[in-house]
Amino acid sequence: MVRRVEQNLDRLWTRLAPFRRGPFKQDAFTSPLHSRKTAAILGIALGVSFTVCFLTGLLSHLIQHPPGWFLWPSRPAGLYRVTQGLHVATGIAAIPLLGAKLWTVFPRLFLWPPVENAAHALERLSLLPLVGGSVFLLVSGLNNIALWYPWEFFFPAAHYWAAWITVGALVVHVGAKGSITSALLRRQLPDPPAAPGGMSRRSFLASVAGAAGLVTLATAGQTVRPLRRLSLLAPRDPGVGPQGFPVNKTARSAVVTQSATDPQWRLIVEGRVGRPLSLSLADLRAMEQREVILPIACVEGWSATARWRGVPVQDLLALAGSPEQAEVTAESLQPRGLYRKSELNRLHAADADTLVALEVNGEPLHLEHGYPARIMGPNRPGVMQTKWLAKLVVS
Amino acid sequence: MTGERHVPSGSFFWLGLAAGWALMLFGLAGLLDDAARTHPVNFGVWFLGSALVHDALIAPAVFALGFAIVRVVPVRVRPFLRTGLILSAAALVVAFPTIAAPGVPGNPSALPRNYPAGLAVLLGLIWLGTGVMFVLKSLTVESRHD
Ligand code: HEM
Repeated sequence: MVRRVEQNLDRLWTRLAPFRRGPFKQDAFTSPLHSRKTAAILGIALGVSFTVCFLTGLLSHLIQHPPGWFLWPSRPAGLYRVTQGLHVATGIAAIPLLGAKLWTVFPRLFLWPPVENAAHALERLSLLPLVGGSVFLLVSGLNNIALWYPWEFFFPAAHYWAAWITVGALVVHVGAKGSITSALLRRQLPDPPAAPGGMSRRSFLASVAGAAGLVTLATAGQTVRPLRRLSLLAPRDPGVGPQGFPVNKTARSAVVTQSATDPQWRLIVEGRVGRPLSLSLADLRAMEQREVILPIACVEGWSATARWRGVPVQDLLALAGSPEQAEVTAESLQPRGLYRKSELNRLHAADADTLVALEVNGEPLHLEHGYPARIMGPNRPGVMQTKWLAKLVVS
Repeated sequence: MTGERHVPSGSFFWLGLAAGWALMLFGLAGLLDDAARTHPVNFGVWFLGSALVHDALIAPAVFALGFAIVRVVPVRVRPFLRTGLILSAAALVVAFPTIAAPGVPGNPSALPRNYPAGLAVLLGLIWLGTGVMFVLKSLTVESRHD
């Protein structure tokens, strides 16, 4: 059966031979840079960067939507800042790598004969999700950090599922190219020499590596503070914003301008507690304050360190007579929205540095930073440092 | 490169194919299951559109530029020109959303910089750098000829 199909395929390609024109012609592409070895080297660089992005991205997803078996620790305090900073920086650095790889292998789109047998057909079919997925992930990610959403889908959900599809396609690709890649790198296969006057592979790859370095430097200052003046293309500057650092969700877009400035504001502590609490801002200020230096680390890859002051969540739980090992849901004044609530798992709720913060850098919180009170704890994504706090519900 | 053929085979390939398609189907199932947020049709347009726009528009444009360079530009300038173009392309792509994005009304800390100016500075540095490298290279080659 398989033989018959292959014979028919052969006949089909012979019959179609007169249509083998333009880019399908043999030697339509002349640069020896389109060599398999260039494809292999760039492939490995991409394989490493996409793996880093996938693992750090999956981690960020698990932290925000923890299944039962997953317990994210509150220490080290800056871990999420590093993993998510790496996610975004690696994705940006992968842009020139992907461009170079697609340039290198583009002639193979016009492979003749297009497919030779079933295995080949399946392999080539899997290239569509590989190319579509890689470009989609990098483009949507890059747009997201510029807060630009020219599409209908909800970015995090689409980016997440696209990552599984792309990684699946990458696994197929590594299975197909693994043996040839190792043969090429161990110089067991011939490789064409550079054309006279053309660019050598070494200088091509050096240029691509230079481009990856350039775009990294041009953006990494959004999380690596010493680079901030150098990073001319960073979508955030960790030193720009009210009280000296950036804002993601504004009070106006969260529709809390009235409720957050209402003098009747109270922080409610309720749920599985002995004594439910209702505390005014003055009550909170009268309690013992704790000062911590913690980064605010956004999923979008920027981060900024600040000095926060407020009441440890732990102290409020003790005052309310909550049980040991409690988990807490922090609810915002925000009437709607996916980030209205966040969970403090038992490790975060019990960490002495997890605060109901009232001040930052020596001043009461700016309205844009969550006045009158916000959650601020170690090793949490920025979207889980709930602003305009209204309630702590213990469970 | 079109002439080199490599038809996949072996247990490593079939294993990768099975595992990879399992992951892809998991992703697709998750996508469809979460249709309220992922908008599968719109997602499909962007996903397939990514491959299509690359293969049908961007790549041919880049190759047209490549062929034009081979025709017009003297041999000894070409490698430097290419390096400059590779660096510039990366800077352009990364700068694009910061310039094209509308920004967030009421949030001046989002996209706080003058990005067109930043891009211009980067491009200036790139071409200054490649120009200096070209001159240095020409000087060393000439002095070797003396
Ligand atoms: C996001 C990651 C990647 C993308 C988008 C990508 C894309 C592609 C595409 C579209 C081709 C042309 C396929 C063909 O017609 O044969 C190709 C070829 C190739 N890839 Fe990748 N690739 C990636 C990662 C990798 C990795 C991790 C490796 C190493 C294991 C690799 C090794 C190769 C090799 C050696 C070739 C040339 C094979 C030949 O001439 O037969 N690639 N890649």
